[in-house]
Amino acid sequence: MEADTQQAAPGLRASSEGALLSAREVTKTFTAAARRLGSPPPATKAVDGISFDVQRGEILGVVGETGCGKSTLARCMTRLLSIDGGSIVFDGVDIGGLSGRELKDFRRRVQIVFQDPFATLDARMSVRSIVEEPLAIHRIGTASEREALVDETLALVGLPPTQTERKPHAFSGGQRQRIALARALVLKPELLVLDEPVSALDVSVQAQILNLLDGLHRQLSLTYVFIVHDLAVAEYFCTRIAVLYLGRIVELADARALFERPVHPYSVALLSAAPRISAAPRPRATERPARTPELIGDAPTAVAQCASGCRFRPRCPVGRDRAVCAEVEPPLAEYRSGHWAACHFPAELEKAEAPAA
Amino acid sequence: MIVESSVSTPESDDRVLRVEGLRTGFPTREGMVNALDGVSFDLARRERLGIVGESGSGKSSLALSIMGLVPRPGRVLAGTVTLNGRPISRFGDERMSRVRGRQISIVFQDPLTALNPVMKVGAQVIEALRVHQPRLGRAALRRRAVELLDSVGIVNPQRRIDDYPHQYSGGMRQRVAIAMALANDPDVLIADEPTTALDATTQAEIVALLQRLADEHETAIVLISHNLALVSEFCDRVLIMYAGRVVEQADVPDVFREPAHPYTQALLGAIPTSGSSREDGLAAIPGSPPNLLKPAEGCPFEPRCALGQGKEICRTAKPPAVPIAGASFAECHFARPRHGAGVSASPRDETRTVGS
Repeated sequence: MEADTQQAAPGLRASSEGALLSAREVTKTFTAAARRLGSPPPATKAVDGISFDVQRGEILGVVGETGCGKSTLARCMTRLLSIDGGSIVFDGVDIGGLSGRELKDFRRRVQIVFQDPFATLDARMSVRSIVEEPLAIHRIGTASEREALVDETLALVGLPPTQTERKPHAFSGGQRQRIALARALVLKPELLVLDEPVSALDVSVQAQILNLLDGLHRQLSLTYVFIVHDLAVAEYFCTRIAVLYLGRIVELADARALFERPVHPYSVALLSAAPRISAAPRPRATERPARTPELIGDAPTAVAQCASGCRFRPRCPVGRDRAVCAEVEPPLAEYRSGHWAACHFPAELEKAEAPAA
Repeated sequence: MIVESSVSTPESDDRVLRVEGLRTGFPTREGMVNALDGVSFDLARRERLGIVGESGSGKSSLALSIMGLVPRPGRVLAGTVTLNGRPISRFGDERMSRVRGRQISIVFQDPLTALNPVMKVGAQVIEALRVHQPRLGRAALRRRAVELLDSVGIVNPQRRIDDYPHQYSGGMRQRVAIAMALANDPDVLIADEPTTALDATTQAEIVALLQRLADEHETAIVLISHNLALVSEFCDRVLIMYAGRVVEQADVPDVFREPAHPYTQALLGAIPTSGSSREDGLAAIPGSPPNLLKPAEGCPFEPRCALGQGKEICRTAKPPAVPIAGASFAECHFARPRHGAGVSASPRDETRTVGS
């Protein structure tokens, strides 16, 4: 535990003027119902000691595969879930201790947008009332002021004012995501947590929403935490990226640095697994040898994670047979300036390739 | 340009699947939804063909129409599907069920819906085998099922054969679905978004598995996907679908260098790539996908098209299939044959006026 506090400020830059949100050693465990009477209930450490800072104005990407804890993290950051250990500090205040009016104020300043715009909008409410509801809850403005604010926000996200009396079913997936965004933005939040906001959309619509999110980020000086599994979108959209594996950050770096020179073997494998468009002439697909995947086996679930050492070890090409990886959990440490990795042998794969390059 | 190595129209004896003028509709209260509006293509033995399109473009309807699995009240309105020279689109249910799984198989996006949750995995694989090989005994069926699970990379298949689907991970379920689809060594496998529900590393494994099995069994694969990058790695030829039509057919490396149809161009521009930066923005396609209840009088892409929007000819006349190079074509009034490229004399869709 002491070793952990030493690396307490990953991602914190030397010249930091105070992060908008700081997470320190955040832990969230889910306990399932006991399978048998008397046996301890199985526990899942969905988030297991995560520390990072979100700087004002940045777009921090959080990437990782199913079950890595990224959505749990989003819910912890917005206090939709309470955490079991560690702390989350927003603008200097620990959000764990908030209640009453302070909590309500926090909820106004931090908003979340979810992946599925078909599930998040009440089918029986008109678009106008969906977007106006947060204002009523927070008792903001008079009726006419609210109406003006709703109109303004709907215009901001590019929804035609003529359609605001319609219900969500009348809208396409992309338009619904605009409605969900309007509902979040109408409170003029500072931090927007976006949990896979474009994953359910077709590419042409995804591009519209990404452009919109980019415009809003500039126009409203917002800060984003952008949870995404599509690496191409993460590389394109985020300023910094945290890579999660089984509830821990394994790598945290500027987006460009991560994609150009990934350090952690898991990031290397993840990046190489994504297919890429190539226009170069080449042998026919049926005559090329099948590409060998870097990673063997499915990601173990957090319930069954290894008892000691690095949790990536069973799948790791670098540390699979190394004693230190089996015994010691690697801390998140700064490998290069601003580039953090939780690995005993950072950039080992890079070094292995270096002589050939 | 590598036209000489391009995948041209397969020779007739080499053709395992032929789809001609396929039209499929779903009647609704508001009228007929034209999910497929005249789709034609050929598939050669061992070929790997990609079908790309957005939601509602008709790519899944195409898969179901070929398999004879269009859910009622939807139905195939016109066109033929020929498999190994036999017109399977005219087959009744009973006859078709002898073809399905034996000569042509399908793998769906979500393996959970393809597998029966209250049946052991092994029993389901055995069922797939027994339907087409009724003479195999119990022990032989079980042995074959274990072999199949082993061949798709299920570790410890003797034990895992008696597990239920929920005891398998998503990637393993898709492996089982692939094992069942290939159990009877079909000539054609239709893979409908087989990796969309999976993580990137699992996707890479499943794709490698499909490649290996297709090579071993000499299976032709139709890969249906919205993921252009995946198609770029897996396929030799691609059909781009929009509003129930194939708007472009092209060879795979070429289409990413020189897309001929404005929709293909727009689709490629909308995808973030390592070269693009947020400062430049993405070239989003304006508007929404077309309303299939009201087929366009002219080109279905006209309202969203950077090239043809508002143009008289695009609004009023169906675009012809303009040959681009080899067997490649684009259904666009403004498409032109690629300079210096050999163009096949008869493009695919002969019912339409060719050239302009």
